[in-house]
Amino acid sequence: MLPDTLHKLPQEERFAYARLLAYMTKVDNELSIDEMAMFEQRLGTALLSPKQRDKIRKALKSPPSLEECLSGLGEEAGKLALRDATLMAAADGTVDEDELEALEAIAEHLGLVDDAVEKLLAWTKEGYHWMSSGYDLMNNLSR
Amino acid sequence: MYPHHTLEMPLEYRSPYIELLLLMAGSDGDIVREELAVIESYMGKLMIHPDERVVLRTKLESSRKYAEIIKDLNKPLLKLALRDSVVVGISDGVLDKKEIQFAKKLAKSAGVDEKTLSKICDWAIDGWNWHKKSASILRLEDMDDT
Repeated sequence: MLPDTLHKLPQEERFAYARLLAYMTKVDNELSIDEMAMFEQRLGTALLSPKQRDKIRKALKSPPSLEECLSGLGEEAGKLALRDATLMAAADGTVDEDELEALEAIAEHLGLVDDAVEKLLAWTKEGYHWMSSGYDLMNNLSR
Repeated sequence: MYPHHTLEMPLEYRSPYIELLLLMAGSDGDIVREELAVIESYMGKLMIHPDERVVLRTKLESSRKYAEIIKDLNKPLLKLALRDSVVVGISDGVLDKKEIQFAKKLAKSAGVDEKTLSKICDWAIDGWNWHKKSASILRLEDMDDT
C-alpha cells in the first residue's frame, strides 16, 4: 500500500484515524484475517508509536462508539479514515449493510457529497484489480 | 476482496523479506518517512509480531549483508520482495539511480529479466496513480501534490 499524507498528520490525528478503523472492525461483528491484515497495514502506514498501537489493538476488543471516534477526527484525518475504512470493509470480499451504514454516517459527518461512499467503493474495486494484477504478474514470473 | 498471498508466507521468511525492503529504502543513503511508512505497512500486512518489528527496525542502522539475506529466501519470495521493494522505492515519488541499481541486483538474484522488471515498475506506477485518485475523490488537494 502506498503512502499519502497520513504520516504527515499530527500524532493525535493519526491515533484518532486508527481508532475509527478499530471501530470499523467491529461493525459487522466479524473480524476476518483479511480485514485484520488490512487494519494492521494501515496502522503501520500511520507510523503510530508502539504504545499507541497497543492501545488501538486493545480498542479492537471494546471499540469506542462512532460518535466518540468522529469527535476526535480533523477533516483530513477523517477523510483518510473514511477511505481506509472502505478498503477495510471490502477486504473480506463484501461490504455488508451495517458496514455501508457506518461508512455513510462517517461521510455525512464529514459533509461529503452524497455519492462519496459509492465513489470510494468504485475506487476500492479498482485497487483490487491493481493488487490482483500484481499477483498475476508474480504468478507469470513463477512459470 | 483483497488477495493477501503474503499472509501465506511462512513465518521464517517474513523478516528477511522485510530486510530486503529496508535495504531498498536505504540504497540511496537516505530513508525518508514515506519509505518507512510503506515498510511499516508491509510489517503490518504480514502481521509480524510487535517484538520482531522492534528487531527489524534496528536493521535500519545495522543491516545484514545482501548476500546473507537472499540466502534466507527462495526464488518466488525474492520475486515478491523485488515487486514490493519497487513499491518502497517509488513511495517518495521517484525511483532514483541507486534504487534502480538495487532493483536490478535483486532482479538478477530472483532470475527476473530487465523487461519484466520494467513491467513491475509500470505496475507500481499504476498503483501510485490509483492511490492518488482517492485524493481527488476526497478533495484532498494537498495529497495530490505528493
